[in-house]
Amino acid sequence: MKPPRWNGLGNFVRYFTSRLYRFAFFNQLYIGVLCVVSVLVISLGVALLLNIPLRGRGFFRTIWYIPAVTSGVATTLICAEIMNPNVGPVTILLRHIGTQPINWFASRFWMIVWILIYNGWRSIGPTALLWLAGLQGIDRQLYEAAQIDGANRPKLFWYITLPGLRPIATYVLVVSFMGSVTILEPIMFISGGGPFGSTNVAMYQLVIDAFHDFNLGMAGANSLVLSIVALIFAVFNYKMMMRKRG
Amino acid sequence: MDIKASRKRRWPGVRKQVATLVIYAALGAGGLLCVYPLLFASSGALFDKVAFIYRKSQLLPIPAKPVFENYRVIIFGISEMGTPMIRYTLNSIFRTIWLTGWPVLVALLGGYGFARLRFRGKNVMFWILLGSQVIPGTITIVPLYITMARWPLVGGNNLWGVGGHGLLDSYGPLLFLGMLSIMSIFLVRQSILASPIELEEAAKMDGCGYLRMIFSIVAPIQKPVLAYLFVVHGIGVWNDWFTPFFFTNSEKYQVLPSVIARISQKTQNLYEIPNYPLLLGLGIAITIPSLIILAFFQRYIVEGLARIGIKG
Repeated sequence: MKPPRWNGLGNFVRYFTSRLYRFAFFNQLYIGVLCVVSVLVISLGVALLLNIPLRGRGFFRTIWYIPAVTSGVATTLICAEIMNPNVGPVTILLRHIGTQPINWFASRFWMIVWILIYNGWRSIGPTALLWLAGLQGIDRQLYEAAQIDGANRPKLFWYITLPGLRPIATYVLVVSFMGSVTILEPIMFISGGGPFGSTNVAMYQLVIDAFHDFNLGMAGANSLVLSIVALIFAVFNYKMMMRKRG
Repeated sequence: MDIKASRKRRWPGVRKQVATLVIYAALGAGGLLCVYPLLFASSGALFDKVAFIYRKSQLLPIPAKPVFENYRVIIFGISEMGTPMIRYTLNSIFRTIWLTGWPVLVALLGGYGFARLRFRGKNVMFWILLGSQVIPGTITIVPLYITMARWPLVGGNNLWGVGGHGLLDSYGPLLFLGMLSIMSIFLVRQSILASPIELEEAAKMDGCGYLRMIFSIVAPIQKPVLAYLFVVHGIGVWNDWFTPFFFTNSEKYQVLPSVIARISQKTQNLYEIPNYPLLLGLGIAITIPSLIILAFFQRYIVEGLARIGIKG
């Protein structure tokens, strides 16, 4: 293997001019944002359900947290087996509905759907617990006062719950975004870059660069750009959080 | 009038019961979905390699002739490369204990230092550490790789770090990366700041030194935070497949999760059927200790998450 060759800014130039890297970068942000949005909304709903004083609340909290402690490699492979178009359980359900088995692996749309499903399965539990912590920090008396003034459920939610969740919403948003922008496991083990590289993501491209091509220069440029984006987002979020406090 | 009033008193009760039932159903259905992949894998691992490919399509694959070979192999078996599986397990266990003990110890010491002690440069150091957290983790992968590869005087390198493979294919990256967690230091610091100082002052008046203060007085009070850190770091390191996968190559340095990653990433021989049941069995074997830890320490995880979140 040849020793490394000085490339100057050539790697960065190639990053921004080549369609492969630009697409991988865009894909990472696109899939990342979809993941964040879907997880945030659904986990807020779950947290509202978990907040209701029911018997067995702790049991459900443990159950919902289980996917987060599993090993990423193992569960992505299990997911790949579950969605197997030939003998997987999902095709059984599809057959009950009446449709033909769909070959998920040949379509970018369905691959992204499954990546979202997998990410949702894994992230909804811990995110719901974070929301739950925020919900339990809202003063009960606010609710009582509003109910005396005659507010109904939707109004209570909109005017008390949501503003009360604002401090923790910033944290949840940052953590979810950081986690989703560096998403790698479903891409690597379920879609393998998708049908013909259509779900190729910057992190996966990094692994390919470093492992198969031994092109550490490109891998370094890749990770730098990705990190700058994450950094910009974190700083932006921090500024918004600071402004809201004041 | 009376009948209408009593009916109104009766119906809200029914509505509440129906709502409760619906909520239980929703939470239960979601919980079942959360657990389903693990059930799938547990019973899928009972298959023979060939029987798994040609199985009947069922919601939960149940083999005609259950084969316990895949579970047995995890402890007693030999992997394809000729390394006994037990080596991977021991690697995993040792790495987890090592990379859980050190960050928590340093977090306790550092947290106490930043919370209770005064020394020159304390603020500067604090802001430097805080600033280092702003840099995302992904950017450090490639520089770390190069650092490991060019480490002088190890693994065939000369004084300038050139020539061999450095620390790459050794226990170095497995055991050095992750010995420190700055977020943990901050968490312990914040928790100590929030606890009353009276007990420590009383101990100091009785002549308590620093070490005794940290380990006999502060640590027992901080047990929930320390338990949370133990659990989070432990589960994180146990499930970490990326570091050994990326930084090492030889079979004898692999950990359990990275074994799965390597088996599934190898280009497969067309004449050979990939051993999916083995992968499923390994996956379940990796997950079971995490589940046990979760069952016992769930309370600490929830408390810890709440503490981090509310502080903001």
